[in-house]
Amino acid sequence: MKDYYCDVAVVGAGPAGLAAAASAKKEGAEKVVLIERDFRTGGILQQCIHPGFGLKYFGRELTGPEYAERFFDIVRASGIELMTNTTALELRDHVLVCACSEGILHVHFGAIVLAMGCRERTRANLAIPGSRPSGIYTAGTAQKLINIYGEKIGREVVILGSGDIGMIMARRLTLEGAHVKAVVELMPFLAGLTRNKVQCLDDYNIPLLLSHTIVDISGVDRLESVTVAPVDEKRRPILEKSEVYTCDTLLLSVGLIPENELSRTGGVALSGVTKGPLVNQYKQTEDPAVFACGNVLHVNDLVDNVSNEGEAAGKYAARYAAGKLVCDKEFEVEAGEGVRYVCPQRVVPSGDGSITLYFRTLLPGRGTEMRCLLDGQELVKRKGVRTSPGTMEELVIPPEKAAAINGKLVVTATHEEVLA
Amino acid sequence: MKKTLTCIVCPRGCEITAEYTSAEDIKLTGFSCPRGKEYALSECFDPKRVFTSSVRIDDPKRRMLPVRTQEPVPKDMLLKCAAETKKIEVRTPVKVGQVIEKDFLGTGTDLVASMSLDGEVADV
Repeated sequence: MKDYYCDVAVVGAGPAGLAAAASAKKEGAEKVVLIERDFRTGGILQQCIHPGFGLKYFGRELTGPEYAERFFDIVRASGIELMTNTTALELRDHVLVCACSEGILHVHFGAIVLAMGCRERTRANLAIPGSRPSGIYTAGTAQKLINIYGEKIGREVVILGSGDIGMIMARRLTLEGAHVKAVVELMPFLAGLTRNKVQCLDDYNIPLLLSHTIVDISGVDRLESVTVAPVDEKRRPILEKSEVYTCDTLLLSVGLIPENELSRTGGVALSGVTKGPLVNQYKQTEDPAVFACGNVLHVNDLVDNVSNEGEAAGKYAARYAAGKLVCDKEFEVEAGEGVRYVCPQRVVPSGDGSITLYFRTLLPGRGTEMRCLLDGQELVKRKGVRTSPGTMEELVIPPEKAAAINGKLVVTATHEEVLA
Repeated sequence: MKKTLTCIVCPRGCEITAEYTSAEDIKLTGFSCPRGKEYALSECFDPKRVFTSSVRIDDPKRRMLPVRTQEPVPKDMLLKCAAETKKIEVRTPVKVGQVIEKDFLGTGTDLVASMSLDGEVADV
């Protein structure tokens, strides 16, 4: 067993962790360590070979690997210790227990940033009935097999779930010569971004079946067909209207779950809605030495946001490690009418600068009035032409108003027209 | 001719309405930035997309190198680009941005690497 001492430890070298480590270093933390279980940094960006990253952050459209490499270059140049092939096992009494090729490593830190990302929901999470043949993949696994390992995964494909990765894989498989028969979505609206429907489904005439689900899977060794049925307004399948789709491959793009096993070992309080830690605007969890950012905190739709969160977490973790972050007073932030969740869940009024509240609406709609209320009084508001649960929204509280917060905040969203 | 487009330039996804008889006589509404206007014009008369894929490489840790076209290519060329990419094999080391195929299929833009791979067995 070896001991390692640092100011800031960052767990996970995906986009959140890379940004957090770079930012902690920039903020003045002397010794920053970045711990990654894979042999290379970049996380999921390594397999996201499509463009669409970095428009907000770098002002140009990059592919996932390009985006990751820009951050890695910053990390490499700034004297951050990078530990790849190292798995964080447990967070115990403010010591991070890791396994690496030399054995067990105890990392002692002034502050820690959790940036473990998320993983995909699987068939088991959905409990889809039917047989258990080969040919059923989560969309991200299929993406890795095709984009990194050059495998051919199938010819006739049905995709369940209209999440972004599912739609992106529909395009990818089509370009690889497969026939994507349909993208099936349980909800009456798209789960992912509209731009992905346009460039991934519409461009290739791939049908999108909203308010439909898969009610049966058949095949002995290999998948032979799936049965697709429409659902009623209570999302119950209408079996008499079901239809059989012959296919050898089924992809599941049915949501992501923040990977918080490590957080739980450290007793970090989690939200039942986001499934990630409860934080304030500094990305500080209820344990003041523990920070969290990116998809381990809440599932983001844009990597640019993940980088911003990582930067905040790294910056304030460095300040905390240096004894320069004081949060004596905190107020709750609540998801009000029409809002599924708000992140952060708490705010510190004596904060430096503005506070950005990230949230998702419950339903898609047009002419959406988004408000942040302080004790029932409007603090800030913004109007959105079109909003959807698949697109994260934000409200920015300017510095002078942020400093004067003296009660609970509630975020609400009301549509002029609901689109569901 | 009247068309409703969803802009794909950024995640905002503005709905743009285009009414036109020709490229000279076109009325665009609903865009909120110059790039959106440009996209809508291109989408009506000459739709283009950035092409991305991955090609074989001799790296010990992964079999594929991600690649992209530097600039968007005509949309109807995408399947042709995909077929052509299957024939390409690259040798390490390769740097991000390195040209893999110059003037890819006569589109006027290059196919470039979107990742650096040194081909070493040892960790980065």
